[in-house]
Amino acid sequence: MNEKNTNESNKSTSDDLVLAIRNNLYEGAFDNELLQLVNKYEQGYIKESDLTSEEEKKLIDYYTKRNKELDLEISRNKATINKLFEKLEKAYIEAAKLENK
Amino acid sequence: MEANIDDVDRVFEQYLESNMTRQEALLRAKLGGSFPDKFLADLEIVEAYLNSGRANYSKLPEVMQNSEEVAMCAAKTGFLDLIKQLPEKFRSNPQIMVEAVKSSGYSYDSACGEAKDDRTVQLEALKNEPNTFMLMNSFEYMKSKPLFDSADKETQEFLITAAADSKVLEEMSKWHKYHEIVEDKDFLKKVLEKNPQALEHFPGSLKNDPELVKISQDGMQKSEAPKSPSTLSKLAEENRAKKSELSDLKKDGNILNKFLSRFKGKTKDNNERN
Repeated sequence: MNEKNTNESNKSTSDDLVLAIRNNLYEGAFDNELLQLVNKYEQGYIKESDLTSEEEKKLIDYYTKRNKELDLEISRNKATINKLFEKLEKAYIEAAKLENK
Repeated sequence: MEANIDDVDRVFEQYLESNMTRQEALLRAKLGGSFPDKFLADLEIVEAYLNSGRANYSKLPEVMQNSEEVAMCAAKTGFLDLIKQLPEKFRSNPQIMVEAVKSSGYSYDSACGEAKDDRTVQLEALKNEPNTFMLMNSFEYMKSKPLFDSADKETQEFLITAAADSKVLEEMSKWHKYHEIVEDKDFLKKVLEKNPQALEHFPGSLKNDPELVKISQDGMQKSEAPKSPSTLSKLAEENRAKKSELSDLKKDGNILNKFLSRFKGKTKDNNERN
């Protein structure tokens, strides 16, 4: 049982590591110039009408990729919350068993 | 010895009553779980519970079930099962049922008494879900042959909104009592002002009536004028919404983690004491 738990724990750590590396690589894939453009656009310093067609394309590509990445992160967090609730439900059941002993 | 569900509930309630913070109760309610009675007067928590999609109105304490404020929250959720469970006095209340049909037109089916015959409730239900027209077909004022010119303003607005939807217009054309109205040119002009594309569903020769065709074409040109949001602004808006959802999920995860550790700590203490 302990061995199984250790394996599960190792697996979860390695999953986290893979995700962290992937995220870092992903963030690194955007150059500073693009991130500055995104920042200016989001802060409202540059309006859409002021963008060149090349800049507009770069922003569309950025948001398309970033939104997909966010979708993944959202599903991962939802799954984590569901797991936490399962653990909580198990804890309630354990507590009830102990009370009955 | 296996624990039965009553034991689980009892232990859970004991723990909740004494330990659960407001923030934890709000999260628990948001996910459709039970929360301590001490938070029953907290409308934000009750509202979160009702919006969870797992709420059971009849399981709320009687005093809450009879609260107009709580009924209003339930109506605004648009959850049909929840609205169906509202006491009759609220399902016949036009102010409450207007909110219900604005969120889900089909909840009109749960309306009764005064609310069922209320024109505002009917109009809002129709705007939200044109198919509800079929549910209103048999009511008293619809039983007689409706005439557009002699109808009061509210009825005119109701009939125009109904006919502006192609499905409803087709349905109206099938009923003998509506024949006069769906062939009334003045009525059809108003329908075209609301929906220029309705022309293709007009009966027979009226589809090709030059005056009606012109109103339809002018209306379509006008509706094309406002520029739809660009791809970039749509993507940026989606990005903002997703970032906000992710941030909320992370906060929820942290709260749950803390709750779990505190619960485990508490039960461990109890166990050691025993």
